[in-house]
Amino acid sequence: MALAALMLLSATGFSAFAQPIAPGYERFKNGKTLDSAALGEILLGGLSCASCHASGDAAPMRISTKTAPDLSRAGARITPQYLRAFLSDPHGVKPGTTMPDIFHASEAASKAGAVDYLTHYLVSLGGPIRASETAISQSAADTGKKLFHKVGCVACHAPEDAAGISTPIVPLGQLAMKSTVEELAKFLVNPEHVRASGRMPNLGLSGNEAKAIAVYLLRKQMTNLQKDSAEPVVAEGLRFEYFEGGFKTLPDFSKLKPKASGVVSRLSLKLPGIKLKKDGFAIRFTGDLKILKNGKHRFWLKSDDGSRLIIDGKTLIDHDGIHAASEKHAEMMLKPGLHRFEVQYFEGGGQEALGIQWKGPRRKRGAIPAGLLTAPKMTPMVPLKSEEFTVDPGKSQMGKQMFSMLRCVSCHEMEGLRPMRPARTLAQLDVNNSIGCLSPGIRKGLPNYRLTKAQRASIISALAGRASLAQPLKPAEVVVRTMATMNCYACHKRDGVGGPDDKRSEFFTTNVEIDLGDEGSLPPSLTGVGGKLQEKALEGILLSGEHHVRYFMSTRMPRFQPATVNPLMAALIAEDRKPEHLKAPEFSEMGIKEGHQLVGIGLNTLGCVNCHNANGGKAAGMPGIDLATAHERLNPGWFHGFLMNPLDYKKETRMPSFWPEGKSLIKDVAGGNTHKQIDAIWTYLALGKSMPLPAGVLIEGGGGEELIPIGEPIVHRTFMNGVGPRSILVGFPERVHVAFDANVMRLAKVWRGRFFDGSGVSSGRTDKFFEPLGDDILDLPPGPALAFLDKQDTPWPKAELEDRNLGGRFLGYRLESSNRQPSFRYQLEDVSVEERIEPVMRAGGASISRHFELRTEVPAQGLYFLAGAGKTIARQDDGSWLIDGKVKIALSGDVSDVNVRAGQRGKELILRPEFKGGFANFKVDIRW
Amino acid sequence: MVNRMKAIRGVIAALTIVGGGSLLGAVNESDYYEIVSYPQSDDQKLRLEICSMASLKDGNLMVGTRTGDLFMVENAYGDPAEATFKKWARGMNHPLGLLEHEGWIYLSQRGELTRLKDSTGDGKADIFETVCDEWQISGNYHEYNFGPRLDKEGFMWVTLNKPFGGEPYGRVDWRGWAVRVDPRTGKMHPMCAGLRSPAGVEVSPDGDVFYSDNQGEWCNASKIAHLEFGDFHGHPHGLPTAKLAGPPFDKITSPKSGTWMKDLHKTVPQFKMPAVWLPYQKMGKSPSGMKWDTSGGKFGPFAGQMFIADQHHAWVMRVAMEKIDGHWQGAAFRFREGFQCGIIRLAFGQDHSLFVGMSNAGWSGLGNRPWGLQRLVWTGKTPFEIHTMKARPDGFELTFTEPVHAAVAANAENYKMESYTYQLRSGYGGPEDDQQDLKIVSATVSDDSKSVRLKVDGLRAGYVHELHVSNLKSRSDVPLLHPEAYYTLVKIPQS
Repeated sequence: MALAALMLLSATGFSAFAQPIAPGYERFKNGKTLDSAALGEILLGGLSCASCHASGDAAPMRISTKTAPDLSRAGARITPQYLRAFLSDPHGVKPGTTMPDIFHASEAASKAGAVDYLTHYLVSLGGPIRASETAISQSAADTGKKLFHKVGCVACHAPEDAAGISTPIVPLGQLAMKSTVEELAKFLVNPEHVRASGRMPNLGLSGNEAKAIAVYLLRKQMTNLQKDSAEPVVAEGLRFEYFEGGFKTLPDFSKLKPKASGVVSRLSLKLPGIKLKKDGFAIRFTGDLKILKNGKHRFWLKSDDGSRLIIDGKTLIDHDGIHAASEKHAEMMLKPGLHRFEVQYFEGGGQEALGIQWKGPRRKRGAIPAGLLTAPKMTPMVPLKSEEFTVDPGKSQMGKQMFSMLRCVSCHEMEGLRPMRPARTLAQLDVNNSIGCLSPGIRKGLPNYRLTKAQRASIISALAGRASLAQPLKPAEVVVRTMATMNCYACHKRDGVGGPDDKRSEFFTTNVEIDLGDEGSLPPSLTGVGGKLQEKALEGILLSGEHHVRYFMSTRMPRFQPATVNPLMAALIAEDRKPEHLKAPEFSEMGIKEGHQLVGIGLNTLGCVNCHNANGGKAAGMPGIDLATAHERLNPGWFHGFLMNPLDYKKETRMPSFWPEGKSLIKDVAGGNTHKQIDAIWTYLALGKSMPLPAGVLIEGGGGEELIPIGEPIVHRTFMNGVGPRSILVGFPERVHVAFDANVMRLAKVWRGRFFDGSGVSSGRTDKFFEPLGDDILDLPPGPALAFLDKQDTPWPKAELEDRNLGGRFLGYRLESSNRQPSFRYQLEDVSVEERIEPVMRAGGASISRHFELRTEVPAQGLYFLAGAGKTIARQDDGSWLIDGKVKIALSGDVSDVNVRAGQRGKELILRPEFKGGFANFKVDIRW
Repeated sequence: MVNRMKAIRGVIAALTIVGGGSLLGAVNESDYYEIVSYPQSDDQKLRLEICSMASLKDGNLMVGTRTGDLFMVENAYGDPAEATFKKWARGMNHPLGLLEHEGWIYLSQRGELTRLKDSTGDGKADIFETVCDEWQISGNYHEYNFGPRLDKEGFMWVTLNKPFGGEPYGRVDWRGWAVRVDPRTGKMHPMCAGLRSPAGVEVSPDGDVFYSDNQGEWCNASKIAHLEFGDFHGHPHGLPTAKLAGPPFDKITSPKSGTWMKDLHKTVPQFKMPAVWLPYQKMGKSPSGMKWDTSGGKFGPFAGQMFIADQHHAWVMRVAMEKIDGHWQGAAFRFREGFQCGIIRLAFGQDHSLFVGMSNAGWSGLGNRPWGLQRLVWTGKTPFEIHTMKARPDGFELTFTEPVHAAVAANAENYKMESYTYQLRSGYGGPEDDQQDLKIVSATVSDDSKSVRLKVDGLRAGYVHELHVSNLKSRSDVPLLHPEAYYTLVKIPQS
């Protein structure tokens, strides 16, 4: 049945509607939730009918009139060209608008005149709109697009791809012609200033977020040809241009065409809206640096790979070429004022990094504050079809009179203006006349809303019972009507009604990794919410949009106006709340103790903190709603019932019932009594912020389960950062440890001191790459240990995180029977390799020896071993090799052609295993 | 205070779902199957977060834990306090499946299929050989590997969980696939695509391979399904890998969200309907390990049927399947609840008792312990249960473990049936949809009173047929232990 209704809706299609859209009407027009008269009452409110047609003595309690936009600043925020176009053809410019067409039956000439007068009048109200100071920025548009689709806008409005949507779509019209980024952003931050009834609710957007969304919504302005003749603008931050290509040094940027450009608030490799290529890209940052104090300034430039700092056209730091992350610095005298500032950067391959710091007179070393950098003049966003406009005072005066005469002012209240002739009251209306708003032949001068037949029928049936319009709604009706009118149903279900359709559901996402299914992304069902939540919690959510308990949801709870919230709250409470919801258990120390135990993890516990954070402590499994918030949100009696059987309260919840069939599985706490146990939990939770942490929650930096090798090595498979998802760690009792990468066959890391914190595996769900626990961490060169090269100068194979078997096929490891030291085995083509790692005790800290045993039955032509890599490799007197002045490599055994060659990131120390009778055994000592 | 408590209890009593015959008082599951607990489960140092288990030929039990340890459990059958847990190996990355084969212990862990051996006989493994690591992992927590299970042709089946949730999350090859590995060569062969969270895989005594999948996105109700080469099971995550798998997988197209599963074969012909759906909450939440009863009656009256555990509900369910028109399908029943934690693995011991290995593994489940080992032992008493539920062209035939009270059993009023089905959706989980109450036209008791033939109006292929029996008792007046059954009717038999 529900499905049939849905199919009917989508068959009708919401997108192409030309009739006025009142979301409450659209949602329910084909269903059974509301009858025709109720739908009519929603339309009477949504179309602001009572603004013209006064209701007589009694206020029409059943109609919630939408307040038309406040036009007192119309000229300041709306372009003249839009006002003119919209007044001439509201339904054409904004299909679905609830603004009626006043001139539908006027002669062309008189219509054009009236529209011109009204336009001059409205523009005179604070206008004409100021030219935009926002520069074109694709990255801002991309950020705005993400926000628009994520924070909740598309619950009511159409997403970019609206195909498949079956729930109502509130139209936006031709925004790119209507306003500027600044004005639209201002509106988005405080929509209730213009649209007082809050049907466009406040989503709590920050200024930057609102601006990004505005840039996205006005993105057609970026390609408006008029922008080329507009005044250029400046922006805070730096302009960036992003290039792609196979760079080995910094390119001549003037000869390249950027793939993307925009403004970034500070020097960073996080370019808004741009996914950097893994390897092979370059960026140029340009702008002006504002110097406040005369004097010597020193800059540090750090990068991987090359970079260059240019100030006032002079190269101050040249850090070009392929290299690992490293820093260079230089100084220069700078006078107060603006200085041209440019940083060039490129990434050849592998890891990447870029950063700049400075210090100057009375300024410590640190980042350059964003406020001191400004991007150069850039092309602004310009509203479509912009026109030169000067307000003609005479026309404006005429327009003002018309505003009153045409009863615009009935809906759009304006200080000092009144409608010239009041319309008939609701009681006086003859719904059957042939010239009124509801008739097919609307008289000239009366508003045409483009109502459908069904809409007219609904309004007529509402008016048929108009005598009872002053009758207040029952609480249940208030709830449904409010949720329909304010479109709460766009996000929330209540009593099985509402909620996003399948297509829209995709836009509800989670911010953090949390395995909560729909509960983690879709706003909660409101069934029974009046019984569940305390008044102040309801108030906080509805009036202030508080949604921090569901911090994991991307979608935000909007803020609504007191005029909406107060009756809704009263109705929810009247409808849902039962006296037992408010009953709290007696507070007792015993209860606290028992509750504390039950909530934790361990013997005779319920393990609530597997799935709930607790007073800032992180849940062991999934970081769900913090338990310390319960006492300030929930009604205690509701909590009791909910714990007894969560599914009765919330059909979609993943919260299990811990007392199946009402019986406790834990006999040793509170006498095994279910109700006493639940009361104890509430008592404990009621401590709120002073709740002692339950057993099993994770505290940042503590509670680890350290693996300590004693007597024999520990071999431990895990995910390790910089090693890979097939990391095999070996911890030696000698307190030197290694990580082997079984994806590409390489020894990846060595370190000293403490070995590894194994608690990550048993807390949460093992969802990250871990770090070693110790110190002196040395990263060995990326890429496989052994490789076949065509020639001696063939580049060493590169390996990324997910590359497999570059250095051979992993065969496993064996533990020596004497000391249980592992030897790793793998097969590279015809060569079988065994690598055993042995700790070597030394003064100043243990080091390691790698023992290789290679075996082959066919000659291993072109097989090389990579012993080390670095910026510098120097031969020592004792025959060993010193890498970057700190890592010493000593080679012995069957090796030949030991050779330092140029590598991709500096120098490489390579050798050829020397096979004798099919065997090659050699040893590599590493000291660092 | 007292009044308030009474009021609350009143509300609660009205709210609590009363289900299962065990509440009726006269009979208890524990009368027939006894749970034996091991006190060592509480040892914090052992941390028996069991996620893999194998009953070894020498009479010992091997268990693998989430933290990567393998324990050899000795003396597991006698006084539970006497059982010993010796660390046989450590450092495995989430060992989720164990199998003894030709003198080796085979093990599914995140990175690979491994085989281990204690070559020196000192009670600790010293050889760790990589048998196959052809699949990818990106480091996402949900990239679990299950199996290995030996099929009749000597191949080992491994099922590969797809990633889920946030970073690290990579779209890497073979996630969401069932593969089989030739242990002689280490070669991997793709077998089925479209799996989500295939926490159990098992080969039937006749050689058919089945797996259990956890509800979520694109697997909107938990299920048991038959795995055959070329099948697609509904989840599109792994379809890009079909390029590597080659024919016939490269022809599989992505399903459209919102398709009725029963109709999906029209657009995606490779889609395999489940053998048994496990309706959410009623039949657990997270099906995991499975085991066929090969005891030949030494574990009670259910020889030849299958048991399946649930990681949330801390219970074991029972499944009886039949092959209709080439498709395996059948009914799920409740069997035994009340274990100490959500269950991941089952293993039949050499004495035909059932080992139950548990860990909450970072989720939350029923029970009063976060992990542990227990054993389920048949007391020798036969419970009065629906033994099988078989599809007939116009209804179902129920067989019972004991003769029924014929007069009660012949009353059609004592049977209630409804049917519903599911859509395949991109969203998480999904409702029981297109529900219909069915009319039981007649109930006919067989001459030996061991079976009842139900004629039902309005059977629908592709629907779960949920049966609730009331008032039924055995000839000796014992009430039915579990009066509900969930039959997944994919094919209606012609005769």
